[in-house]
Amino acid sequence: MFLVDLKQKRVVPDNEIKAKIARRRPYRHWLRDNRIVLRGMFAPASSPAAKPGELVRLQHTFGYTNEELKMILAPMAARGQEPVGSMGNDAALAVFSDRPQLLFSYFKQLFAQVTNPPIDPLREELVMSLESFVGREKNVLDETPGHYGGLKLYHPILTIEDLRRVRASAHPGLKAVDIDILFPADGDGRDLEEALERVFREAEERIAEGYTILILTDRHVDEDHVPIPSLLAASGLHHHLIRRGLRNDAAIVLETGEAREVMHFALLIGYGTDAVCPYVAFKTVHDLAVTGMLGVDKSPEEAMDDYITAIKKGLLKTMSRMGISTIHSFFGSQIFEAIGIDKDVVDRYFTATASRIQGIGLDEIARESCMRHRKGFPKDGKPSKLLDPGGAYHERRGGEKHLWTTEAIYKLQQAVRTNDYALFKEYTRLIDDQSEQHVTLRSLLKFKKREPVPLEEVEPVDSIVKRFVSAAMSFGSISRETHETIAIAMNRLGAKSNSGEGGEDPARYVLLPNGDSKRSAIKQIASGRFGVTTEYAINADELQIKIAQGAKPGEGGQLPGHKVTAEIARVRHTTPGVTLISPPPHHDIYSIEDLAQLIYDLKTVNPRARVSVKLVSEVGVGTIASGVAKANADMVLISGHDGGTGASPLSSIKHTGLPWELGLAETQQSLIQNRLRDRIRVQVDGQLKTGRDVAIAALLGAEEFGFGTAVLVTLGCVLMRKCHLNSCPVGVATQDPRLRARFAGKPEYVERFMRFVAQELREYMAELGFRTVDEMVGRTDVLEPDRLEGHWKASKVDLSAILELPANGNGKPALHATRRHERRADTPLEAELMQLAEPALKHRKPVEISLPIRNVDRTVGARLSGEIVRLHGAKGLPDDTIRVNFTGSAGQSFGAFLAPGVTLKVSGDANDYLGKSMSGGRIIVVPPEGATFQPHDNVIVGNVVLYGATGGEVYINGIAGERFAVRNSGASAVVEGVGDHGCEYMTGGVVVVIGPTGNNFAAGMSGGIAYVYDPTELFDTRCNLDMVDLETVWDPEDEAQLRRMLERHYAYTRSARAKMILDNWQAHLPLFVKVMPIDYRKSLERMRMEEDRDRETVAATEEVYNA
Amino acid sequence: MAVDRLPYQNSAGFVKAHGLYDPRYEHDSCGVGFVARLDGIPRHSVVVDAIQVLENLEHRGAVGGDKSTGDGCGVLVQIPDAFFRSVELDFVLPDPGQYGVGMIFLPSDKKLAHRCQALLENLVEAEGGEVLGWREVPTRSGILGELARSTEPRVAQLFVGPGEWSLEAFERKLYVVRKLAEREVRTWAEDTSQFYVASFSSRTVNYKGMLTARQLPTYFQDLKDPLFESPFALLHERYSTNTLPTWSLAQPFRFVAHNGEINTLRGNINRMRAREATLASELFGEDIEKIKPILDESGSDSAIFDNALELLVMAGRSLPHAMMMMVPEAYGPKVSMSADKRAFYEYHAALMEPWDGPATLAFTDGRYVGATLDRNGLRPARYTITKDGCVVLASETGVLDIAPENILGACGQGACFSWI
Repeated sequence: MFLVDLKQKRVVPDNEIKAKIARRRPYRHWLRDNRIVLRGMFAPASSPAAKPGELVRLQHTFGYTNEELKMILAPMAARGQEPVGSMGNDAALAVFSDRPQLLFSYFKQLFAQVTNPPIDPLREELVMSLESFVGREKNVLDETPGHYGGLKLYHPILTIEDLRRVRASAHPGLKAVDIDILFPADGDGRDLEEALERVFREAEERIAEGYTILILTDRHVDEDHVPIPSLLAASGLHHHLIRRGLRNDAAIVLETGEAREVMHFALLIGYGTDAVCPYVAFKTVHDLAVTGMLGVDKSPEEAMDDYITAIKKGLLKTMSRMGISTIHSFFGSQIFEAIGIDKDVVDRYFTATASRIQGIGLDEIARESCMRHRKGFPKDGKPSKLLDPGGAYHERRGGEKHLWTTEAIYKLQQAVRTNDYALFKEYTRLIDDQSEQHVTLRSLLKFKKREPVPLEEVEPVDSIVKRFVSAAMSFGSISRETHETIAIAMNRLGAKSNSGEGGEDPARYVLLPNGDSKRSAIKQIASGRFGVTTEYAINADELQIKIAQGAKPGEGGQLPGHKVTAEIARVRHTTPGVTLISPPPHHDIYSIEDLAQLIYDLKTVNPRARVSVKLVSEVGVGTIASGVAKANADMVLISGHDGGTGASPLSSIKHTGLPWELGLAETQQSLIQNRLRDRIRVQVDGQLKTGRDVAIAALLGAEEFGFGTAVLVTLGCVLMRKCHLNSCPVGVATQDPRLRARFAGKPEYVERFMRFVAQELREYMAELGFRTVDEMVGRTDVLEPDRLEGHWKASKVDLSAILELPANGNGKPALHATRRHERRADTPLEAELMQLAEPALKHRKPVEISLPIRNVDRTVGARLSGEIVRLHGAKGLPDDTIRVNFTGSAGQSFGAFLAPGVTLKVSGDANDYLGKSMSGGRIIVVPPEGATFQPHDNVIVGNVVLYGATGGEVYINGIAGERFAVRNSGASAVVEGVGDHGCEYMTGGVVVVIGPTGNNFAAGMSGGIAYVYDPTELFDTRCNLDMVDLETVWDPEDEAQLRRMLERHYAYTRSARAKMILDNWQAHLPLFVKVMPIDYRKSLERMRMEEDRDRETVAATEEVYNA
Repeated sequence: MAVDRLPYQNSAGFVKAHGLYDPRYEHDSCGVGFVARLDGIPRHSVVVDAIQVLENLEHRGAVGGDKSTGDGCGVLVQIPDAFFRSVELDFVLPDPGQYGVGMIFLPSDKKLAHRCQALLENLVEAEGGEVLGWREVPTRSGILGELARSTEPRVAQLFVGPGEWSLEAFERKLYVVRKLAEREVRTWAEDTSQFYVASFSSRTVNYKGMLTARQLPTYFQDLKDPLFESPFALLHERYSTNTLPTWSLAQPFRFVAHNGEINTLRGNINRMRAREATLASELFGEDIEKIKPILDESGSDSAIFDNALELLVMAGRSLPHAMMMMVPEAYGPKVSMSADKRAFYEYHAALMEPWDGPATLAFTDGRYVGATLDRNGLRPARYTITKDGCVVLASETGVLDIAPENILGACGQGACFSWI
C-alpha cells in the first residue's frame, strides 16, 4: 500500500501503516485462543470398504458409468491429477441427451478472457489458497475474539473420518446436524419441490435451534427415497438462506454420493457449499485400488490421498481459470452458466446465473434422478452388475451420441479423395440430420421458406472460399507434413491458413518451384510468444491474438522437453529438449486497455496486416467483443467450446465454454447495439463441418468461417483422440518420424473439402434467395426455431433469444462490416524517426539521432524495426547503425520488436513492456541528466520487460517492475533490481540482476541463465526452486560472461553499482548466485557431448526425443 | 447522427437484459492515479496537474460509437472552499468543514428533477441536518458527443449544514441521507435512473461524467477557476466494453478509483446481502436500517466495491484498514511476512472474503490518499515524489513533467516499497 497522510503531511511506508493496523488488537492471540481445526486432516484417509453389492447399487443410483471409472476416477487416484485428452468435444449437450444426465452437466464454467487474466496456479502458487472457515459468521462491523470462531479447513474436501469428527463436535460454536436431501421414489417435480421446501424449512429450524453446521446428506437413500441432485439442494438452500438473511448463521456441508469429478466440486462450492464429503467416490476409489483397476500398485489409502490431491489441483485450476486466487472468494461466486435449464428453476435455486436457452424444469430433473434410482433399486430385484458404458468422451455403441461417427469420417475421406460431391452430400446428411438425436444447438434452427434465386446467380465457389480459414494448429501439435499441406491448400484457394502458436520456419516464406506456398497467411500471437520475431510479424497478412482456445480457455500449455526436437526448438527460438511453458494469461494483456496496446504494437510493426482477436464463446463474450472492436481490431473470432486440441485436461474439454451459436449471436447483438458492427469483421469456428453449418453461422452474424477437425479428417485423421500421446497412427498429430512417414494427406483433399462446403453453402443461398454472402450475414429473420415436440427434454429449449435482432437507435443497423480499417498514420515522432533514419534504411549508413520522448509516444522503434527487417531481412543492419538518444519518459512497449542494428537509449524512464518481442539491437535506460536520486533504489522501467524477446541486449541503470524478462528466449539484460516473478517462464538468454529481487524469481524458468547479486545470502527464500538449481559462479567461462556483461553495463550506463562491483571483483564475485534451470543444464550437457563426438545437434535431439 | 434511445434503455443509458445481452457482463478498465501535495495546502495547480495526467493517460481510455464521447473520466478533490466562497450563492456558507456538498446528477426532466431535489431537502431536514441551498453547476453541453448528450443529467450541488448533527457524525449522516434518497427514488413510477449522487461529503467533491480528459475542464467550468484548489486529486480515465453513455459509471466513485476487475463479484454481492441481517454498529444505531441495501447492484464492479468499502469506513474502520480487509495480501506459508500481519489477515479472512481480481485501487477519504494493488500485482502503478513535496501516482510514469533535479524518488510495484 502506498499512502499519503495529509494530516501528518508525509508519505507513510507500507510496512509502517500495515504494522500499525495489524497491531491495533491482539489478533495473534485471538487466533491462538480461538482456532479450531479438524485434527487428523493430515492423517491418511481411512478407507471405507463397501458391503458387497452395495457399491454397485449406489453407483447406479448416482449415475456412475464405466467410462468415468476408467477415464476419470482411476487416473485421478493413480496419478493424483486430472486426466488429459485431445480433440474437441462433439457429444450432445446434456439437454439433448436421451439418457439421464447429472444436473452438473447442465452447467459450463466461465473463464477469464481479455478483461482479467487467468492465473498460473502452479508457477504462482504462492498467491493461491484453498483455506476457508466454516461456521457462524458474526457482525462484520464489529471485531471481537469470537469473530474468529469457525472451523478452519485447509481444503474443502472432507473424508468420511473428517465428517465423523464434525458430527461429534462438542464445541459450543460448532454444532452439526444432519438434514436428509431425499424425495419419494418415482416422484415428479412437485414432489421434488416439496422435498426442497422441507429441506429449507428444516434448515431454518435447525439454525434457530443454534446449529451452525448443516450437513445435507443423501446417505439414507433406499428403495423408497431418491437423492435430490446435490447441487440443487445445496444451491437452493444457499439462496434460500441468503433471502432470509440467515446464510451467515450456518455452514452448508454436503455428504453426497453424487460428486466425483472436479467440475462437480467446483460447482458445489461455486454455489455456496462450504465443504463436501463424496462418500461414494471414496468407496469407488477404494474398490478400484483393491481390485487392481488403477494400473499401478497402490494401497487404498494412497489412492484416496491421490484422488483428493487431484481434486484440490483441479479446484485450483478452475479458480485460476477465472483469475480467482482463493477458494474463500470462489465460494458462492457462481462462475458458471446454465445451459438447458428452465429460467424459473434458475431464478429460484441458482439466482442470478445466466441461462439463455431455457430447458428442463423440476419435472425433468426429478425424472432423471428417478431413472438412475430405478437402476440402482429395480422394482424386480437386484441391480445389474455392469455399469452403464457412458460414452461422453469416446464414441461408444449404446452410449452418448457423437457427430464424428466412423461412417461420417469414412464418407468424408472418400469424398475428398475421389472428388465425389455426391458422396460428400451423403456425409453432410449424416451430420446435418439430427432428427433422431440432437447434438448441436444449430440442429434446432430451421430455414424459413423464401423466394429462391437461380443457383448460377449466387456468388461463385472461388469467391466464397476466400472467407474460409483453417483453424490455428501449432506445428508441434500436428506434424510438419500436415501443417504444410494445409498451408499449401489454403494458399492455392486464396484462403488463409493459420500458423498456430509456436512460430514458423522462415524457409516457408519462400515460394516453391511450382508456385505453391507453405507460408501461413495468419500468424498467431499466443501467450507463450514462441517464435514471435520481427520477421514473423512482418510476414503475415493477419496477426491473430489468441486470447483463449475452445478446448481449454483460461489455461496455459506445456510442451514437454522430450517433444521439443531440434526443428521445433529452432522455429520457437529455444533449446532442444527444454520444456516450453505457455502461461495462462498473456502477460501484456491483463485488461482491455492492454489488449488495445498490443493491437497498437502489432499494427505498428506490420502496418499492412490486419489484426484479429480470438475469443471463446461464454456468456458476456459479446461485451468483450465490443471492447475488442473499440481497441481497433479488424476482426474478432468467436470460437466454440468444441474446438480441437492437441492436449487438454478432459474436464476443460468437457466443461468450459459454450457452443458458438450462443457466443456468435451475442457478439452480433452486442456489436449492433453498440453501433460497432460496421467496423469489425466477425469469424466463427468450432466443429463447422457442412454447408448448412456455414449457412447458419452466416445468418447468425459471421462473415468468415474456420475449419479445424474436419480439415484433419480430410488428411486422414480418424479421431483416435491420441494427439497428446504422440502415437497418432496416421501421422497427423505426432512428431515421431516413423509415424509421420505414414501421413497420406494431400493439399487437394483440403481444397476439395473447402470447395464442397462452399458449393453446398451456395445451394442453401439459392434456396434462401441470397446472391452474396454479405447479404446473408446477420439475417436471423430467415431462421426460426424448430420445436421438438417429441423429445422430453429438448422440447423445452427456446432459441428465441439467439434470433433477436437488436435495435441501436440509429435506423437500420449495419449487420456486417462495411468500413475498412484505415492504416494508422505515423505519429509525428515515428515520422521524424523514419525520416532521420532514412540513410541507414536505404544505404546502411550509420546515423545518430536525438529526440525528446513522452509517455504518450508508444511502441517507439517498432515501426522502424519492421521496415529494417522488411528491407534487410531478419539479420537487420550491422550493430549500432542507427543510434537514437531519447530524453524524457518513454511510453509503453518501448523498443518492441527491435531489430538488429538499432540502439535506443532513454535518459529518463520507461513504462511497461519495454523490449517486448525484441529480436535484436540494444536498449539502454539511464536516469535523466541532473537527477540526484540513487538509480539502484528507484524504479526506472515498468513491468513485463523483454516479454518473448528472442535477441538483443538491454542495460537498465535502475530497478525494473514485475515479471522482468518473462518468457525471454534470447535477449541478454543487466538490471539493478527487479520486482516479483523475475525471469518467469524464461527459456533462454542471460539476465544479470545487481540488486534486490522480488518473490517467486525463476518460476517456470526452463532455460537460460540468471546471475543475481545477493549480499544478503537470502536469495533462495525469494526464488522459486521448483525448476532451477542455485550455484556459485565458479566456472571461469561463467565468470568471464558475467564480467563482460557488467563491463558493458558500466560502459553504456555509467552505473555506480556496476563500478563498485567491478572495482573489487574478487570480493563481490562470491556474492553472485547463478540460477540454472535443471532441464536446461541437462540439454546443454547433452549437446556438448554430442559436439565432442562431432555429430550434428539433430542427432542429439533424436536421442532426447526417444528417451 | 440522430440518436434515439433504445427500447430497452432508460434515461441514464442503462440497458436492460434482452436477447443474449445482459448488462451484468459488462467490463471496464482504465487509467487511474492521483496527484497530492504533502503539505496539505490546497492549490489550483494540483487540479491542473491532475487534468494533465488524465490527458496523458488518454490512450488508456476509449472513445465509443461516436468520436467525441469518452467512456468517462473525473476527479475527486477536497471541497474547494475558497472557490465556493468566491461564487455567488444565495445563502451564507459556514466555515470550512462545517458544511457538506452533494454533487447531484438530476434527471433532465425538469419536473422530476424538482421532485428529486425536494426529496433530498426533505430527507436532510427529517434526519436533522440543515439545507443551505443549491448551486447549479455550470456545464457546457455543447462540447459533448451525441451519445453523451443523449443521457446527460443536470448537475447541481446541494449544500448542507450540520444542523443537529455533531461534526463527528457529519459524514455518516450525509451517507444515511444519500442511501435513503437512492432507495426512495427507485420506488417511483417514473424513470429516475438519471438521478445519482456522485458525492455527498463535508470533505470531498466529485467532478465526473461521460467525458474525455480534454473535455473535463471545459465541461465543468469550475475546474478552470484559479480559486478551485485542493491538496489532492484522485483521477480516473475509463475504458468500457460498451458504448452506452452511462454518466454514473464514470469514475472516481466516492472513495475509490479502480483499474481492474472484481472476478468474484457475484459471491461478494451475495455474501454482503447475507450480512445485512447481522449488521449492527454503535455509530449507526437505528440508522443502520436506513442504509440497506448496502450495495447498489445496478453499478459496475468498481461501484459495488466502493459501496462495501464505504460501509466499513462509515462504521469506524480506517480507510487503510478497510482496504487491507477487502484486498488482502496473500499470506500463505510460502510468503514471508510478519507474524502479526499474518494473524491480521487470517483473522479478517474469517470476517470477509477477498474482493479478488486484478486491481490498482486509488483511494481517499480526504485525509488519506493512497493506492493499493491486488495480491498478484496484476495492474501497473508508478509514482514519483518530488523534492518540493508533490506526489504523483498513475498507471504509467512520465504523466507529468517533472524536472529531473526535483525528483526525490520514483517507484513502482514489486520493489522499493513493498506494494500490497
